[in-house]
Amino acid sequence: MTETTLQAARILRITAFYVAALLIWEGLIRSLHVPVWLVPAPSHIFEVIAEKNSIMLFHTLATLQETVLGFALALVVGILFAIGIVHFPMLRDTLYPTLIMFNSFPKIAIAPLFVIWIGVGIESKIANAFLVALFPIVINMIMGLTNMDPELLELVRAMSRSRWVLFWKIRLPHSLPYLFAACKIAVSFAVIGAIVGEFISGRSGLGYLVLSANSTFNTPMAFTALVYLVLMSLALYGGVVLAERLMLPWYHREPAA
Amino acid sequence: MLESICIERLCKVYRARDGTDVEALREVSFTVGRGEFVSIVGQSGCGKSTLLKILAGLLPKSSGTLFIEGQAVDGPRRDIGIVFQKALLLEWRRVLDNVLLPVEIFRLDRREYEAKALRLLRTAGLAEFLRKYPFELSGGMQQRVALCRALLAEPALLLMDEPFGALDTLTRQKMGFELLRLWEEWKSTVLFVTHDIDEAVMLSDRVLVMSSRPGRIMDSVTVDLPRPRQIFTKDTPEFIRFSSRIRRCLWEEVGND
Ligand SMILES: Nc1ncnc2c1ncn2[C@@H]1O[C@H](COP(=O)(O)OP(=O)(O)OP(=O)(O)O)[C@@H](O)[C@H]1O
Ligand SMILES: [Mg+2]
Repeated sequence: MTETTLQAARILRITAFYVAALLIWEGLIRSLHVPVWLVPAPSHIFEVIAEKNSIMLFHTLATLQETVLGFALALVVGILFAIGIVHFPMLRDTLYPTLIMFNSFPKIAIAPLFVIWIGVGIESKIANAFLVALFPIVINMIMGLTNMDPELLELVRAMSRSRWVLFWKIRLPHSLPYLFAACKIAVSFAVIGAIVGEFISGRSGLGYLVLSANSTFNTPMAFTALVYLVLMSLALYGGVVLAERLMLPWYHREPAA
Repeated sequence: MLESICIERLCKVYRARDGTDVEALREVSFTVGRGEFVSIVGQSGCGKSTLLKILAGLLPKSSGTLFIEGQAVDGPRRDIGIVFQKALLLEWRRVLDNVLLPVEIFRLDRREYEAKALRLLRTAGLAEFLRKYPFELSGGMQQRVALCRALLAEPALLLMDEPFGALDTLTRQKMGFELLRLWEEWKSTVLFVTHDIDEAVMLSDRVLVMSSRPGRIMDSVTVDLPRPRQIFTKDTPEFIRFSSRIRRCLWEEVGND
């Protein structure tokens, strides 16, 4: 009973905070007569949302598609890379150092090249999203597959020397929390990759929208695009968190309420 | 009496990379009869864990001979159960599935062994916790699960390396009696490593006293106290005689350093 009232109080507090922030924003813009091309008031943004919702959704879907495809590709390739690196000394000595080297490098700088290599379509944005999302996944996954109590490995080794058993029964399940931690980072990275791709080329997506609104000083439109971007990123992050809760019931250590 | 373990002139030298060798075991010889409960006591660093790991096939010996159930030790085998100081449960598996791990590794008949697992868990007082995850258990309960897991495939030999070392005195004593109950039912040979002289005397048929590094067997004390042992066995003059004999043996050796 008290649990639920506490929860309700919390939600109330959070809502109150955001409503207050919006009201203050609105009040400041009006009282200081800030021009709309500089910073629009929330009421202005809501107007654009109401008016242009279907266009906004179209661009949101474009960005979402690039992000999700890039992220999914990074997930598959990242997991395969990590498994390969952990199991084959050949890859550990070649692929792994290459990845580490690459990781300290701003991958976004390659984005313009993708336009040359694979064009101005959705592919170059997916490639961007993929590239930035890949590293956290590979690196965390390697940790997850290897970073366990050495005595646990001994315990299993005393029963079986099969790498298959070790992988399926121990390494893979052990890596899942690490993988989800990586996904939370990687999914946000993938959004960045997709947006930068849209900045560089393209005729759709929220990044393109921000850029084109900017060039005509249509600041309310740019802000509106950012609102959709925030909501989309939150939804993606929430999706990862939800998947984690469903797949790793043993990892959430809050006592059952 | 048939022998479960037969060790002759076993030596172990750890080859360090920098060329400094560590002699962990020197000419260790002893036998353990089938169904016997034998403890090994000795100072920290004297080579107890090393000995156990060689028996479990986890470490190569340097020289000497070593037979378990009449067979030379070479790699993993089904007829050994191991319990370490840490429970080393798989945190993504519920209690019952943790105990059933050997079934999957050894490809045993799940239905048959599930009944066994349930019986073991009931004996260990864990009947109500079958569907809990390890993080929902206390340290003592986790260790009991680990013990059930080690016993599931009916090992001829149970190797225990300070299994109760991380528990408080009271729990530790309780676990000792529980182990004896399970042992009397399961009739496997037990080799039990501990620092605790009283614990060794309380549980064992025989206590092997090891010297400091390099480990040798200095004394073999047959503890012919009647079974079942009780907590008050500790106060009997016979018990005190055994434990003081072992204590003296260890102290004299330290004095010689
Ligand atoms: N992998 C290793 N490489 C080199 N030396 C080792 C290694 N493992 C153990 N040793 C050395 O061998 C000796 C015996 O170690 P061991 O772990 O068997 O001792 P122990 O009797 O189990 O000690 P404790 O009671 O503290 O657990 C120690 O001096 C240790 O330094
Ligand atoms: Mg040890």
